[in-house]
Amino acid sequence: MSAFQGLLKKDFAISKLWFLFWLIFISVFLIIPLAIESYFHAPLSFLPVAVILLLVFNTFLLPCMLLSMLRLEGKTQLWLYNPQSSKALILSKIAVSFVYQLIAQLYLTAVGLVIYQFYKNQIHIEASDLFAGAIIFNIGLLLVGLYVSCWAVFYWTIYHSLGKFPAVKNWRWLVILFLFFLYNLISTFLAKIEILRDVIFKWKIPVLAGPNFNHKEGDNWEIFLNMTDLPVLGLLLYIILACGLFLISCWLLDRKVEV
Amino acid sequence: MTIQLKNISKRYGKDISLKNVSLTFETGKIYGLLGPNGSGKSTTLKMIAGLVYPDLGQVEVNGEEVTRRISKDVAYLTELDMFYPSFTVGNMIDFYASQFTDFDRNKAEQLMQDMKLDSAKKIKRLSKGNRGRLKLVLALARKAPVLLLDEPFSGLDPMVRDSIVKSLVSYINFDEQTVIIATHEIDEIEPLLDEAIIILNGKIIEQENVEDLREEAGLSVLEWFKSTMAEREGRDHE
Amino acid sequence: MTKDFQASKPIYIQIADHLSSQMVRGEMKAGDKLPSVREMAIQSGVNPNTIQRTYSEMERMGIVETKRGQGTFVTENEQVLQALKIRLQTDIIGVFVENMKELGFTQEEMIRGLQQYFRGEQR
Repeated sequence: MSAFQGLLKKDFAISKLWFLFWLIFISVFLIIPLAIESYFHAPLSFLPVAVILLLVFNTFLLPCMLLSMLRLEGKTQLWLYNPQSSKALILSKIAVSFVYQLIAQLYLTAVGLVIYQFYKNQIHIEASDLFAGAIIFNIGLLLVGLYVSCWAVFYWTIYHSLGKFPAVKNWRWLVILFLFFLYNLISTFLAKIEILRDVIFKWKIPVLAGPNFNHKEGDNWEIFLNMTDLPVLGLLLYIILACGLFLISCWLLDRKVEV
Repeated sequence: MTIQLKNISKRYGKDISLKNVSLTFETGKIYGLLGPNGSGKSTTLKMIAGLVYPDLGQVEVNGEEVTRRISKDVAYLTELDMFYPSFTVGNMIDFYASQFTDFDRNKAEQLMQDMKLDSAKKIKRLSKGNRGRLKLVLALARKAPVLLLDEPFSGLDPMVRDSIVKSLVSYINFDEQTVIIATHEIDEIEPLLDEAIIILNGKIIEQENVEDLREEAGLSVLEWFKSTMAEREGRDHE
Repeated sequence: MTKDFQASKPIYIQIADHLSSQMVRGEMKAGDKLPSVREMAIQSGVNPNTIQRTYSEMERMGIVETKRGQGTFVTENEQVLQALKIRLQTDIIGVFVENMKELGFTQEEMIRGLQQYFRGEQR
């Protein structure tokens, strides 16, 4: 077993129970609207909403899983007693959380498709639209999950790096809040600069990502996807930002976080 | 491997943990780092393991500045509880074997037999004493050039301490390992030590060769430790 | 043997004394092999460096011999073993006499006391 496999196995072992809880939670969250619908004889009133809601919640599954693993390790920080690089230590956790999110999304997508099979005549959507939409939506959620995770790791390492200064130890979360607001302030400020916006939106790729729901008479739905323009530079910027956050976290973990 | 601490200082806020500490540890010797709780023993070991960084000064293992990655050469037994609650003894052994290339599975098996540990048992179900033994297994099964033991007897009742001392003698490689044992239970490890170091309030106050101590001062390490501490207290009260 | 070491005497000497008395009692005979340094260290729960020192010291005194690649053996020189026996006897008598003197006994009283003691024991 290679060292990284060992890490993956360990991270899976310490988190599998939480993931199991999440799957159970999802299932309950799906069964309840199904039960309500059949009780009131009102098909398709709650369930689609529940599926979409859960898929959106799922964006936070990755960072939440990651944070709960980090919280466990952070109790003693003895996971740092390990000859592997910080990148390997964190990547293993991200990889395990990513797989969890992927499985949960596949599960929900499958549920969604099953629902679709039952109510085909009430939902009007092109098969190709459905297919492309599902894939793009899922990839999008995974990417957002990864992006948020990088922020989560970053804040976590900052929080624990401050742990060795008793003066700020009890106010660490304030520092985190401050950083959070500072970043948002700066990014909204930057977004207001017109030249910057022009540059960012100069190159765009069209993506099938704008779903339109039309409620028609007789409880029928018409769904079609619009093309949305995704700014390439903006995407690139987010990727660079995420990588930067990840690398800073690794650096902090190697040098500033203590047992 | 030679370990060198050069003018190390470390503080946590207003609390001074180590104050201008300089020490050299040589290959093939067993050192006892002795002192009351909170004297800086644990911090010293963590620093050598690369888990805590000095504010001032340098820590070198084999001439190389220590970082977290030094754990490849440093086997470290911590006084903290270091296990994942859902793991079995066997899971923990597997995990260590995957992370540390010098981990010797045969040695681990042998040690587990000696310590009567069952690899299928969940760690959270183990008694405190057995958790202590598992930590020893994990540390001693590695062929690391440096072995650091932080309070290896804590939580173990006196009956098993004797057998632990014997395992230490059997499994330490005296020709190649540098061993540092931090403890306030001096009696048990005394016959194991080559050198004894007293640390108090973050300062190294005495260092002696154990046999010289007996030969020249006619004192056991324990007696020497007690008299040194009493002397210090007397001085502090003046 | 673990832990019954006296404080005031180096451990390597105490182990040498222990081995010497085993030889005098005949538990270890001329030419017998001593345990290896490691075995001895484990038996007595002592740092092997200490045992190494014990063996070196005993070799210096001529009580044991180290044969290359074979180990350490009790000397075959009966004279040395005899001398060791007498030395141990002298040591013990020395302690006895010292203690008696401290209690104020004269040389004659000590001898008389010993004779009486042995007569009493025979009865």
